[in-house]
Amino acid sequence: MKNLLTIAFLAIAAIAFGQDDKYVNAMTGALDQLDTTETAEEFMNLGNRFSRIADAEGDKWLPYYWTAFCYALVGFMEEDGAKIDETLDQAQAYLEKADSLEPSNSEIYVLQSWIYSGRIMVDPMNRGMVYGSQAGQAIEQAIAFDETNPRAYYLKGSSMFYTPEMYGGGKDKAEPLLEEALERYEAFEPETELHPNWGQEQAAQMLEQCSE
Amino acid sequence: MLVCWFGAVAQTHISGNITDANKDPMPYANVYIDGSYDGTSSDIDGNFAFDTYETGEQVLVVSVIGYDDFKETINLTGESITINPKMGISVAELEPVVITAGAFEASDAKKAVVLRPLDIVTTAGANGDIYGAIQTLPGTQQVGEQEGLFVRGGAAGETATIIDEMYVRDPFFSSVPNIPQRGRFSPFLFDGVVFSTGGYSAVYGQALSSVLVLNTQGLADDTYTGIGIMPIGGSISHVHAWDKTSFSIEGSYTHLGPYFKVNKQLADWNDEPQGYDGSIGFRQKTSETGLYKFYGTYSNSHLSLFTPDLDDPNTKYLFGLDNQNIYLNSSWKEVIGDKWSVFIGSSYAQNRDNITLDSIKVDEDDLLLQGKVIFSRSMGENSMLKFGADVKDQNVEGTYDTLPYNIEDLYFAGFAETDIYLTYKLAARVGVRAEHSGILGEFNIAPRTSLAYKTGKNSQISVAYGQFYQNPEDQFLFYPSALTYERASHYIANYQWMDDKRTFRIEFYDKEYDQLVKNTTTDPFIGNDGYGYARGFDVFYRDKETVPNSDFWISYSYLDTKRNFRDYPIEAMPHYASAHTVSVVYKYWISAITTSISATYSYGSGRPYYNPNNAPQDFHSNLTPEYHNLDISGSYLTQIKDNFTVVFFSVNNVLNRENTFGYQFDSNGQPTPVRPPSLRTFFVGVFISIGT
Repeated sequence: MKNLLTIAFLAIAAIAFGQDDKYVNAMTGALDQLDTTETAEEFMNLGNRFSRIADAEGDKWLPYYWTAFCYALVGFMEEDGAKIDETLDQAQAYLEKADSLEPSNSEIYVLQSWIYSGRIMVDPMNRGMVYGSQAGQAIEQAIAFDETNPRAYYLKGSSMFYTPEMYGGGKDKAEPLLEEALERYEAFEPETELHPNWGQEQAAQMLEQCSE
Repeated sequence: MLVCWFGAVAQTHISGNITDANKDPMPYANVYIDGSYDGTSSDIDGNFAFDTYETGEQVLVVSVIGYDDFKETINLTGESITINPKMGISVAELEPVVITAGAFEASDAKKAVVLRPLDIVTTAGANGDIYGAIQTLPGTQQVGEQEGLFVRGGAAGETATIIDEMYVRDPFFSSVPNIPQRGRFSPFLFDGVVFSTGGYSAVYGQALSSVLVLNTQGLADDTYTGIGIMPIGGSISHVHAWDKTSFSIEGSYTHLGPYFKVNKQLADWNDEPQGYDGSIGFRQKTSETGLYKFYGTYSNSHLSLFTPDLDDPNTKYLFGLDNQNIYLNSSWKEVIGDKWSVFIGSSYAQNRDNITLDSIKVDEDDLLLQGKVIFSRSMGENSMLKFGADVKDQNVEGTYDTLPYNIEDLYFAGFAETDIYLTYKLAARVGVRAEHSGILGEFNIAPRTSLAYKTGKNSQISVAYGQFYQNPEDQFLFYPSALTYERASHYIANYQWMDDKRTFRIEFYDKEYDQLVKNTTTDPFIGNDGYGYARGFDVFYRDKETVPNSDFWISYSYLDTKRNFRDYPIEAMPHYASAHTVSVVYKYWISAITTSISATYSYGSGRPYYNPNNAPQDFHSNLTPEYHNLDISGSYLTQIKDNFTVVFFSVNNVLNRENTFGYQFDSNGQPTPVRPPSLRTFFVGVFISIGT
């Protein structure tokens, strides 16, 4: 009798934890694939993979965040203006779902800022001002929500790096921001292994370019 | 035992090939079981295969960016399933047809637009004036001696300017003989411009030829201070943005004296044009979906010049103009429920002109009060019903020398219009407008219809028919009982091809005018027996791709028009019409020096003029020489102490051509050409934006 109860208890526990295990395993598998993903097609497939997890779960913001992350990367790799907008629309839709599940989250605002700056590529002359200012606002909100988030400083520095000097940007202005970003990367501990932890290498590389 | 308890778990293998509506393979599509992780992406040939542990009835979903999802219910029993999903037509191709006959839209909101507001500001020759930029679009005539948009054989008074759905009585500074005046409103105020060359919506009326519909900017999202320094004066503005509110204030002072010293004027100025103006703007989000807008402006200006007596070169007449103008515009838009939206607007305009015509004084005070309400209801996918009412109370009071005059008109209008989308490819717009003018004491009712059909992913054809009524001009309204509305009937057909880099458009039109004001031989010597026609076609081509870093457009208009109205002795072409008009606008961006250069070339074939030496049957048979004009402008983007700065320069009439707009005759029948107020002119301006 006691054995049967133990087995039943273990079985039920296995089912209960197994559900979460299933989610964690799927997410970990997908995040591992992130390290080896390079081409637009691979990011599209990875985005698809995250979106399946996100839609199946429905109440977890992280898979929606990572779906938006992958689709945004695809958007940045596209060349045709209409396709860029379409892909970023898709990324935006998933990011908004993440935001509705986890409002005022610094990582989400960092990604939002990045998506806004992607829109500029389609028509820099006409969109530069509108989306540039929206991207700037989103980064400031990301910093306000979590001062310790290194990605917010990296993106701020990156956008300064790519903004022409005429408009108040350039490598000299970007340098201190990127240095601050690297300091924060050193100090940062992601909440779980599923939480965003990207950008340190890229920030370091960009900082090197500043001194060239 | 545990294995028995959980039961044997069966996998189902699902595979297949995904294609689009044209049977081409669909790569990197997301294929999955709805609500589960199980799925995969299709490969470059559209093939996919995956295993799922789900069982029973499930939905297979195929999702591709730019397409509606494909869904099919399948039964998972462990037996392999092959399925070949076919995606529908892409969302981009499903983009519904746009009802365009007779209209050019410039807005940042829509994707498929011909012009953006920034295009207007950067067009050479426009000098930052909306009307100057609109004159490079097809359908407009080059009339250098007078302000206004002369559209398809219509006089300037036949085009109405509308701001935030409300009619603007004085969109230009007050007229000065043979010197065209600028528009009063800065293009930076607006984020949407629709220029309709005919067949316009039932929402607007009182314009025989066309409407220029301007929408002011919404809530500002940046706080900044702007400073403008030009040889003609300076301006300062401040925009402050909060979360749901924004406020703007602007003031400017203008004096053309120094500018005229550098740019020699052919006109004989006594007091060069000078004046000051101020404006305030206020925006408030009244709810998630509602926005209240207010805009108010005051301007005060003064000028005087001498016009020579044609018979005696030693005699000259003084023309002086003092003007004060107030304009207030208030509007509120809100969405109600999921289907309805409402717009309520009102405007107040007061204009005072004190004019000196040598020894005669003319003083006029114009007052216009207007209210408008529009209800819209969405009727399905893209279909919509709109209806509303418009009321205008106009009062003109003045004295000519010592004679007083007064014209009052209380005007009501009601309108209804529906956009019916039969399919995403075929749409019809049917509308009706009814008006009553107090001073004419009559009703009119006018149908407006148009049809649009999408012939391909990027192309469509459109036809439109409408009737348009307009009150006779104020100068004729002293005998209102003898008069009725002037009328024009428009027949329009167009074909348009557009992608995000190039636009091609050709439009044919026929305007039949009747009930035009005409002099009669018996008391009261005025009636509505005038008539006329305007026929032709306009061609427009814009290209942002073929020449690298460049954007250019070409407009060509062919116009055949005659009227018999006012004091015309016979049916003849009016003096503001040219048979052929061409505009070429070219813009080039040099990113290395962050400068954009723009050039505009305009051509108009000869225009008729009144020659008193001709017999009545040869009225308007002489044509002026052709009009040619080349303007160049540039904008250099830079920083002054971290503040975004634009240095703007322009050279107008680069060729220094002495265009002739017409002739004036002395008492012996000897002609003097009517020339522009100046030839080649230079202009420089600096605009600094200080702030976040």
